[in-house]
Parts: sequence; C-alpha cells; structure tokens
Amino acid sequence: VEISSSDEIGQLASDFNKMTEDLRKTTVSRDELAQEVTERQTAEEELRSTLEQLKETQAQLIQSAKMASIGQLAAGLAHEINNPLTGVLNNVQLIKMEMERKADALSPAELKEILDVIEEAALRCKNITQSLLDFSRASKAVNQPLSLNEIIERVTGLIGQELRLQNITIQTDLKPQLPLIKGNPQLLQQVFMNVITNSQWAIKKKSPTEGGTITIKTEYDSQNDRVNIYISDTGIGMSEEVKKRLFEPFFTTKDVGEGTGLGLSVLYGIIKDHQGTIEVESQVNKGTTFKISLPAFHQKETV
Amino acid sequence: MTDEKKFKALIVDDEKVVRDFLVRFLRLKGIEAKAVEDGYQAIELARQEEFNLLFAEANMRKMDGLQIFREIKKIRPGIKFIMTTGSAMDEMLEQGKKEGAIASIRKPFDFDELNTLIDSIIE
Repeated sequence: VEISSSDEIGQLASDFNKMTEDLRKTTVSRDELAQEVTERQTAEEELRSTLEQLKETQAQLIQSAKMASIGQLAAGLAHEINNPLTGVLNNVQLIKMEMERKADALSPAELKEILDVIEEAALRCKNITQSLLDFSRASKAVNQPLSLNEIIERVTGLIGQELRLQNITIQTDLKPQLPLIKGNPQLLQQVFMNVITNSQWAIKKKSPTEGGTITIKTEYDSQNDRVNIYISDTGIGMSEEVKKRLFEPFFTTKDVGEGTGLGLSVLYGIIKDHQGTIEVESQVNKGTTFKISLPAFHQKETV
Repeated sequence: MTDEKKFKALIVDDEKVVRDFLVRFLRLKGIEAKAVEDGYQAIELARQEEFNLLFAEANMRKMDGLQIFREIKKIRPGIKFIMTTGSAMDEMLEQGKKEGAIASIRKPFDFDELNTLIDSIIE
C-alpha cells in the first residue's frame, strides 16, 4: 500500500504495511523451519538406516564367528578322528594285501601286534565320539546325595600321579563336615577332571618343565546354603577376551589336535544342570581360579 | 622292479599309528623307509642320510608339512614330496602342489590310490 497521507488513514496504511512485512518475514522463517524439519527428518532416516545396517553387520559378524568356531571344531575333530582311523582302516587293508600275497605272511605274534594297534586306534575314535555325546548331554541325570570332598579325592587320586610326573603339585584344603550336594557323580567328576586338566595345560603352557601348583579348596557358605569349590593354578592365565568366550562351545585357544573346544562348554552345561554357578578369575602369567558353587543338600529335604 | 631299491622314504607325522602304517606299507612295496615325529628331526636326519621321497603331514604343531618340504628341499633338492593330511584345508593342499608336491593324500588313505601312486613312483 502506498502511503500518501499523514492522517489516520496514512498511519493505518503504514501499520498495515508493517504487518504485511512482518507476515512475510514469518512466512519466510516458517519456510526455513519447514526446510529444517525436512532436513532433520532426512538425517534421522539416514541415521536409522545406518543403524539398521550396523545391526545387520553385527548379526552377520556374530554368525560368522559361530561359523568359524564350528569350522574350527570340525577341523579339529576331523584331524583327531582321521589319524586313528588311518590306523584302523589302512592297517586292515595292509593285512589283507599281505595275506593275498602269501596266506601265512604274518606270524600269529605279528598279527596280534597289528591287531593291538588297530584296537587302540579304534578305542581312540570311540573316546572322541563319546565326548561328543557328553557334549550333547545324552547322559541320564542322576540325582543322588554326594560328598564333594569325596569326589575331589577320587579325582586327585586318579590324576595325582600323572601331575607329579610333570612336576605339578596338588594342594587340597577340604573343609571337614561339608554339607552334601545332589547330583550325578560321574558328571561332576568329569567337571573337576576337566578344570584340573585345564589347569595342568595352563601350567605346562607357561613353562613345560618348571611345573607349578594346583590348589583345591572347598567351603560351606552358610548364608546362601551353598557349597563352594575353588580350583586355582599357577599357570599362564588368560586374557579378558579369552575369559569372555571361555564357555562358548567350540571355543579353544589350543592347536588343532590339542583340544576340541568342547571341554569347558560341557562343564558349563553340567554345572547349570546342577543349579550351580561357575566363575573365573584370571591374571595373565599369574594363574587362574575357577569357583564352582552348588546348592547344599540336607537329608531331611528328601521326599 | 630293478630300480626300486633306489628309493628311500622319509616320513614325518606326529601320529605314531600313521608313521607305523606308512613304514610297513612302503617296506612291503620294497621302499626303504624311516619315520620321525617332527620337522626338526626330519631335517636332522635328512642331513645325515640321503632320501628321495618325503611324506609329511600338512597340519602339525611344530612345523607344518610344507615348511618341512621347503627346508628339506634345500638339503635334498631332488626329493619327491607327498603331502598327507588329516584335516588341512584345500588352500594348503593347493599351495603344496604349487610348490612342487607330486601328490596330496587325505587320511585315512585311499588304499588303492596310495598303492597306484607308489607304483607310479617306483616304476
């Protein structure tokens, strides 16, 4: 509006013009705001799609880590089985070849010697499939009252000699009158064997000749009514990374043929089945302590 | 058959049962054979005695089959290499072939294949 007078009309026109100008400014800033909102929405969408991509990548990574462990297990198992299988299959074929050439090519003593080799090799294959079955937890659960101290004594009796030969000392500190626990004695024995074998490996890994100490301690935690067992070693210890993945099936730090990566994951499953917990503390080059805790069992509970 | 005495095999495998089988088998085929359990022993023995046939497991802790072949080739340049394996991945076998292995055989061995292979070598 063109202003041509200075009277009230002129004033009104001037106000009107000012309002128009303000309105225009508001419209501009609203447009700017709208554009900003659109930009932010786009940015948010981009962020969301990036996040989704990240999640997908993470899932793929987890999957490929699993595949790698299964691949590692398969390679380890193939190696462990194929060697004794060579001893079975190829020796049988060899005997056949010799007998085809000459019926009495082998004396009874020679034949027996080869049969012994074949038998031992076949038993090794059997042990491997047996531990696989243990892993799939096919063994029946037995729920009987047990003395943890007795199980420990049985285990140390079984492998104490072997450990002493390797310069490894076993120290036990078993609490007298420890309450009983309930469970499967064979499986629990396997658990402690496994942990001790792991300690033995860790000590030898630190130094093949120097030896070390494995300490086994039991105690009763009356507050929580649980029986605890600590198995400590002076071995090589483990990194945080290893500690995190310790009980994953197929995870192993050992070379092909040295371990299938089943031991500690089997153990974890068994302890869980016994309503127990297992914790690990470890320092690289100092040693590792496994703490296994199981619910105490009191006779009067028997139904 | 007249040339067969010329062959002398060195077997490297960390599994006794495999070493024993290969030694027995090769001796039956008329090939003199000695077996050791790791690469260091193999190199040591190859320095002292002449071998022209090498069996080595691809996947061993101390030194793998291919590394052993590389070292022994320096001492016995004409040696023929057969890679054996219980688990090795295909890439390793391929690499073995690329570096001059005349064959790679998987455990447990295919008896006929092994037999034919040895016959073709001693012919």
